[in-house]
Amino acid sequence: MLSLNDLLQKAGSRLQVFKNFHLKADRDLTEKLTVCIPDMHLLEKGPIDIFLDGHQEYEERFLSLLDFLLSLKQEEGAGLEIIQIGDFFDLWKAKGNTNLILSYYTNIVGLLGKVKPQYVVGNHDIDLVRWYKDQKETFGRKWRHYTTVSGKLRVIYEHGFQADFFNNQDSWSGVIGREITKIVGMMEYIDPDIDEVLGSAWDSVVRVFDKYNVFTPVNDPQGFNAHEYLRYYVNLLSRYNSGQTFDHYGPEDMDLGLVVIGHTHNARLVQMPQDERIYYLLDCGAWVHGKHEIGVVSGKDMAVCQWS
Amino acid sequence: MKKRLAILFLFVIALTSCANLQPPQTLDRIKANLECLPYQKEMNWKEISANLGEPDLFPLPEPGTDLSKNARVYLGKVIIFYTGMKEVQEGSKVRFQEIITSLEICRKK
Repeated sequence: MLSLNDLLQKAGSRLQVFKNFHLKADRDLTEKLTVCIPDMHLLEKGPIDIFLDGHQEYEERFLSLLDFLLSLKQEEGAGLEIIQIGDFFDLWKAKGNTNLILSYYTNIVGLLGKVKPQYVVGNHDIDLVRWYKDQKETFGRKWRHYTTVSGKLRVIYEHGFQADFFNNQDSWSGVIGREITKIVGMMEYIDPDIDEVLGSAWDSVVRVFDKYNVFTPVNDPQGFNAHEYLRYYVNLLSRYNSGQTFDHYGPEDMDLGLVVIGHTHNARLVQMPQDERIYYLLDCGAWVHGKHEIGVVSGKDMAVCQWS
Repeated sequence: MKKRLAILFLFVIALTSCANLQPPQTLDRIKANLECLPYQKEMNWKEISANLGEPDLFPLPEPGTDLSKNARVYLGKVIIFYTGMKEVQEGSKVRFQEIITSLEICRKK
């Protein structure tokens, strides 16, 4: 397995740790070099396409990352895992689902297809599966991805909007009303255990959705509270580790220490002590408005890096 | 009087029928008011969109794929099929079928 340092060396000056966001855990988090690509929000290259943001060089930069990952994949094989952490497309604003976006970003979609990433679904691209519920088609999208070390779950990878549900139960019709409209119909379909994962939050979602069916589109800018995300995810890891899960994983399968997310478009790496251990939250950042970050986890190392 | 009326009626019928008859046109004449793009297998989609503009309808991707298989629909465009004859065997007999040899997709100028 390549270490973070190996990766930085191979990439040369193109890859650097971002803002000293680098920590070492007290135990291994992965058995593979794991590269996480956060929010891209691909659209049809019009004025609202925040991936391109009017700069063709942003696409070229991302393509050079994919070229590098493809050659790395050919060298490392199964020793390299790539995870797209959600909001690959921005289907809230797309003209026609993914159809036309594909024609504008053929190289990105094609290269990603070759490196075979795990796709975690985000709130902006969960619509992809809305029309295929009856056919059980998810296009390979997952609600959540895990990595394991010696058979035990160590890292959860999910988009991050799940924390919004939990943290904003009192204002469903406000800040995240639109998200609920988009997502709630698909949640159980993608992850049948979602009601248990979200606990009481799920009951609130269903109750409100049943009552109003459709929400007023959100006018307020989406507000993020970094501490809320950390608290939500640390509590989630702690709960899972203590065996409070209702899925097929038993407590003997759990030794979770890190959650990797996107969603907020603000990269950070934070830690919090709880249950006499340290938990970590790695927010990979984004590839919108000129941002160019990836999350990297390898062995005990975790970092946010920038690709130039 | 009746005879005159009958002649007048026939004359009117004949005149309006002739007015509705389309004179034969050459392909060049038909294409004079069209901008056409010949279809070739595996041609780049950008050539189509550059000539015809954005599609009117873009259906969801096909299930069971990696999203890369799509269909795009244009409404109100002209299609010109070029045809030819193909010799086929039907048992011991030689027969002919009309087949499409090429295709042009056109929009009005």
